[in-house]
Amino acid sequence: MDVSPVDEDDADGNMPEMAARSFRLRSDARNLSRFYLERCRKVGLSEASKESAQLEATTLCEASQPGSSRAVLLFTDCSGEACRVTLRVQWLRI
Amino acid sequence: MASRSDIQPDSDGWRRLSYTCRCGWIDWGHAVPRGPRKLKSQIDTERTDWPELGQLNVALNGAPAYIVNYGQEMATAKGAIRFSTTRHWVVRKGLSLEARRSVALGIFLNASYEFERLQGTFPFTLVSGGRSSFSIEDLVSNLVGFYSAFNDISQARMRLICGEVSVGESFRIWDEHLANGLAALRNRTLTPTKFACPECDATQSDAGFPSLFGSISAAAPGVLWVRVKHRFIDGRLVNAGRAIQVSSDGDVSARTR
Repeated sequence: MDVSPVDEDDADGNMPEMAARSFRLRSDARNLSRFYLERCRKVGLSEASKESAQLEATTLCEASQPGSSRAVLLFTDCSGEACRVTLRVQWLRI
Repeated sequence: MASRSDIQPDSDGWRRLSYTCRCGWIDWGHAVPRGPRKLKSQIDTERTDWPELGQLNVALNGAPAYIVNYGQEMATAKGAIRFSTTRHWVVRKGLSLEARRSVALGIFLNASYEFERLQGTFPFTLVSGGRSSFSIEDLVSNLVGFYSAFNDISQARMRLICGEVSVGESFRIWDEHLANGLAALRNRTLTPTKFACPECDATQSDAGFPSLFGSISAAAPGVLWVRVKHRFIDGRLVNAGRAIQVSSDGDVSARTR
């Protein structure tokens, strides 16, 4: 399978810790969004708020608690029966 | 900190680092609005996200107030070493929207300057190497993130407002002026450092820093907000649920009822 290495950026000031990985999957954008949102819910993240989706359109799900917040951003680029999927995680420890 | 390779778009098209005609170099990782949004949500609701702190009876210079928990963080070696400037801030309650935004910017800038300053001092240089303290894109990128969060402006729109140039032009400007990287040049101000940019000359009629980024004036500490002097309010006061008085210079004491 065509899977990229994990691209990591450590937290730096206003920048949250970030990690991204891309891969190809046989699916379509809507199914992928549904699938990963379900995965988000299983680990305690909720669907992105309207405000989050407006600020970063690819925000799929997020969670905020005292001292920490996390978000998962999903980007899909589909053609034919397959999609290039990128998942990006932002983790803020404040 | 961002490096030359960050100019190249990621697989999802996200460009972490780019030159912009009106805002200079922007590290779009620093401009992510998630941190300022955490600050905004506390200021909007007049409540910290820590339940124990939210229940405290707090006064600033005798007026009702609340606690904000905010700061910035640095990690290196894949998170093995971290330092954070997270601390408690005390803000007056009942402020107008305009005053709240001024307070938020005051706190945000105070935290940004503290973070950048600490990055250049021992022992934090063990983590940062001291290289990225006040590098030319840091403060302006932070400011873009703040306005993104407080004005509900997406990062895609911010790239247009700042006049992001092409990937090729960003590489060209880097190669011509930044042989030793962004950290070789310092900027301790909120005014961008600009470089000669033929693409900007050809496409932008206005190369000035957008007025948007001066539309909120930062409130000075002392009256509407203060930094708690010893970083955090003493846990014993919090646990005892004591009413707290905070002075204009950040001294915390238990209030007599």
